Amino acid sequence: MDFTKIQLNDKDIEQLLQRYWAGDTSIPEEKMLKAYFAQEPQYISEQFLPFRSLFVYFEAAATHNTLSENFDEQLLSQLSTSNNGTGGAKIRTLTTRRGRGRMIRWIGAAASVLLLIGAGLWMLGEKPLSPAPERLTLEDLSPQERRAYEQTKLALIYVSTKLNQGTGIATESIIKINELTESAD
Amino acid sequence: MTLEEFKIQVLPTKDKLYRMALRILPDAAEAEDVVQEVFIKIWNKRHQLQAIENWEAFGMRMTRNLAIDKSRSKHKRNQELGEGLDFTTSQPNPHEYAEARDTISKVRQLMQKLPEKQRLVMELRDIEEMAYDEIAKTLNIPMAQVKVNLFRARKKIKKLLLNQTNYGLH
Repeated sequence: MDFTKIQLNDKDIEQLLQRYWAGDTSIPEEKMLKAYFAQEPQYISEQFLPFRSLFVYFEAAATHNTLSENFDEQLLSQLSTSNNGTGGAKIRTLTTRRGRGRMIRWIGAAASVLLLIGAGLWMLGEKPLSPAPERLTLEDLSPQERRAYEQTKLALIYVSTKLNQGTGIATESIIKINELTESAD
Repeated sequence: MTLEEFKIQVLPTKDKLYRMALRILPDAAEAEDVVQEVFIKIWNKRHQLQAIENWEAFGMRMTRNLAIDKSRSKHKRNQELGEGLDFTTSQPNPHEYAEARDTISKVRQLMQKLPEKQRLVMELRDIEEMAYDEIAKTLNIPMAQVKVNLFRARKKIKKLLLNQTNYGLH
């Protein structure tokens, strides 16, 4: 039904609007208001003109911002591959990105836990031997302790470079994905 | 659920879900990814989800939650509607559209003045044309709150529109 062809008199609109402001209109009634205000301004009574833009906005916002045309095709092809096979459809664009991010965070968390345990053990081991010196320098450490220190430092540097690499790989693959989608367009 | 049923019942909600994602994530590609992820999750869990009657509200809620998760995980500030929703793309009727663009952006600014919950409720009702119980399910709030928020939002917008007109006359 084409609501724009319906002639609503001012009184109808007035009542509809009043009920609209009060939150009492149904969806079909709200559609009628939208249709009324979708007309050219000269067909709208002056008393209602201040509200025209609101209803025009609703209509515009509902018809704009739609998904790209090949969205269905891409999605359905992903779903149908999982339809006959076993297991679920994979989320292609997201899991690659998020998976890496998650892994990096896990490695980071694991490294810090290890560090804490290491530090804790080291301090526990140290305590009964001697009271803590005012300021601990490398010279205060025994050769074994110094070696342990160096090894820990190396391990930390190693972990941090790996973390950086991980981010690098992730960024790289995102750039690649972007390039691919751009060239596909 | 068969693929055909999915196409009929679930897929038609896609643009609403997309706009919901855009209200939270400003980036169109990210918002599209969210919708895709929601659909794939629904599909993969289709056997457990047989009791769902209202796919639209269900999908809207999933989309909103996922988009919020994503924006938080990236430490992004939630973007206001309008930064995400784009009104500059070409339209079937560009002349008519150019004329309307100015008015639209004015209303959009007014809508931004509403508190978030009021704005969301009003958008879901007046733009997405959702029933009150669907909005309640989507936003996870009681139906009475939907009505109160809608009432307050419309009342405020009415006042703002009238003020604007009065200033325009003087």
